[in-house]
Amino acid sequence: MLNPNLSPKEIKELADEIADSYKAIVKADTESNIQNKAKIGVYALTSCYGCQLSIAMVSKLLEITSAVEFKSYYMLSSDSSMHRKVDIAFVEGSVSTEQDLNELKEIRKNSKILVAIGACAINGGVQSWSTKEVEYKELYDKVYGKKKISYNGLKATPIEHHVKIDFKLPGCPPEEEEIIYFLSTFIFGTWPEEKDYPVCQECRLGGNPCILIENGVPCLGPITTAGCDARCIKFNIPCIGCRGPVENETAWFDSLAKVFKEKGFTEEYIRTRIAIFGAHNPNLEKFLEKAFKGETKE
Amino acid sequence: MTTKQIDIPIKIDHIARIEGKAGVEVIVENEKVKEIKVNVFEGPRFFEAIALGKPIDEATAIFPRVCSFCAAAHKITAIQAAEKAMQITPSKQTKMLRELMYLGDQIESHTLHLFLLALPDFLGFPDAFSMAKEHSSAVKTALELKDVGAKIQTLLGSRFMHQENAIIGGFGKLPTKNSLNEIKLNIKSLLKDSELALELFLPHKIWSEVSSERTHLALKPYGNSYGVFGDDIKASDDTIFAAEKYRENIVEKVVPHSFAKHSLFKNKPFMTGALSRITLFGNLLNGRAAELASTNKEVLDSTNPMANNFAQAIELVYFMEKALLITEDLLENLKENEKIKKIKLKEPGIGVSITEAPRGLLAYTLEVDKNGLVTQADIITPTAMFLPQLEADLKKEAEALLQTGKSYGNVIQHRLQTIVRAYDPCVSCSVHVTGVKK
Repeated sequence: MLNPNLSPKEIKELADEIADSYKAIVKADTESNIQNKAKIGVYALTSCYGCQLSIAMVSKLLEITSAVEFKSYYMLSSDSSMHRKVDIAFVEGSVSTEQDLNELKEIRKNSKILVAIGACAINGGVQSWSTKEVEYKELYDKVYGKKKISYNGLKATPIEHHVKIDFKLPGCPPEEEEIIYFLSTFIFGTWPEEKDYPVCQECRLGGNPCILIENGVPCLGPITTAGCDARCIKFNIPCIGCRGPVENETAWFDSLAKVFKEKGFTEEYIRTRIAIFGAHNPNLEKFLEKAFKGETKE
Repeated sequence: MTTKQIDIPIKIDHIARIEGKAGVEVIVENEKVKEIKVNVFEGPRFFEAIALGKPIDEATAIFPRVCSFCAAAHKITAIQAAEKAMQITPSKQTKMLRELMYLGDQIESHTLHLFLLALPDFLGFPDAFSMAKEHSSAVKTALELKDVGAKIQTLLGSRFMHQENAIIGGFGKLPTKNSLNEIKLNIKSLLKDSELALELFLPHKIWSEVSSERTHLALKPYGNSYGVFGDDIKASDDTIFAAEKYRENIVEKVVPHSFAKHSLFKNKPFMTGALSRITLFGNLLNGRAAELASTNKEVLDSTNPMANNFAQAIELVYFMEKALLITEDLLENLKENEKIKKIKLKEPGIGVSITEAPRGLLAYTLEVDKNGLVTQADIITPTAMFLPQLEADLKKEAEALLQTGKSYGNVIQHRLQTIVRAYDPCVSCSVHVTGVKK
């Protein structure tokens, strides 16, 4: 039915066309022999491709390519391979299949520096939202029924569970300024400093009213890693924690996290909300304990 | 039976320049293409399952994470379904702002696809970086066009993907007239440039051997104005059905080679996307886009998937013009202090919304209980819908190429991938489709 049964003339035309495009491909393949630039690889495991898109959307991307060479960037270039050696690998996505795991190991082997970029790579992403309650098999059965698929899926995990990572570039998606900052430090031979303070710090400096205290909305700013310049709060939207949990030691507990309880949010509600982007955070229960069961002034 | 050994690697492990991870496998027997499989190995993320039991506002916040390229489409479609489930009617102004944000997504997504993902195939480059050396002004224009799409979304959504400012009931913060005016000037300055994609594609003819009759599905737009919102779906066989009834008409099945389910209409593959929209509702285009569509009819061949590039190129012009009109309307009529519609929980409810995402029909069903927790979620994405038709087209192309006897391996790979890219597949989107039951 689908056999097109081309006429001899059509077959000849097609054959000529093929010969032309063959030449074009050979030409394209021999292009791009650049040296003395930082070699960058941009890779995705299971994700929304938003971190790769954020890098692609960086203004002056073309100028940046005069300082770095993208050795692999599947989303943008058909001249890509994860078997190439690179100086810096940016990996987005969670490990959600066996193939993800194999690719991640290959990327680690071929890169000097590995940067986990985005919420999925760093914290397992929104696909980890229900790790606490539902197991992979149950999710699989809900979505696909009993039919078997040839690939093996895994419960979503952060890449740090499987390989050593050197830096974390958080965000869902990551901020443009931070992408440029990371690239710049690597180009100039220094290292990026990761932010270890909460969104509240930037929010206060920005002079925004506190929507958690004043409006009683469930803003996760006190316990979420800074770097977004309180983007959502400026829009009157409570933080959902997309940049991932900040370390418990630097979270703004005393002044703010206890407000959750005062405002009438249950521990379960806050646990679920933090788990959107922080289901794998080993300190989650400790945090809830401190915020909800710690001393409160009656 | 002998299986002829052909001199080509006939497996494309990982198609580059698309959104998400997929490959193509061609199985040849006796010089005939026995089967073509678009292998989707992007991991599943179970959006419908993880949303169960979660607060509806948080669920609608994570749905854009299905896909970065069409995040606004997911956000707005999900919000509309949630509002229907909770009997909230958004204001006229909210609807306009959402449409503008949606068009920003269309502009950004079409630009990225046409210039950065698809065009390198035709100009003979592996990517836009190397293409920029010989075609710097084209790449520069592309970056400006995607930026205007991104700016619209950032203004209304708080950022150009995962737009937190668009919420159930309205927007956290409304734009100012000053910022809308900047958008207006920005769009105006790029109107002429938005025709560049079409100009660049026109010298490259569509491949006739891949033509075949096919069914198109598209949303019948509101108010006889070509667009992204509507309540009914029309098929090219003249069937019309209510969006609410999509699950009775678009049937999904699980296939072993893909984490994305396949969809069928009347038990047959179908196409959805820019070409389907223009095929069914191109008569509703107006302005410059209508002129361009009528002078370039031959490249809008509804039987050929490669025409989808041209359909997107014409839509890019249209969406820019429409975004300008809405922006101008808002500049005159914006009520800067309009209040958001608050969620008032009453009773359980179910809502369906279907919109026209950059790649085609996007369907959401959301059901909430009386506490506002999600009890059912169903999402069908355009890529999951058109995968069977894409496989049929690839089979046709591979058969034609084998008939020539000149089957250079990398040419087959190149041509098959070019067809895959013409569909602008969004693989991340496709890998979680389901009908989750309580």
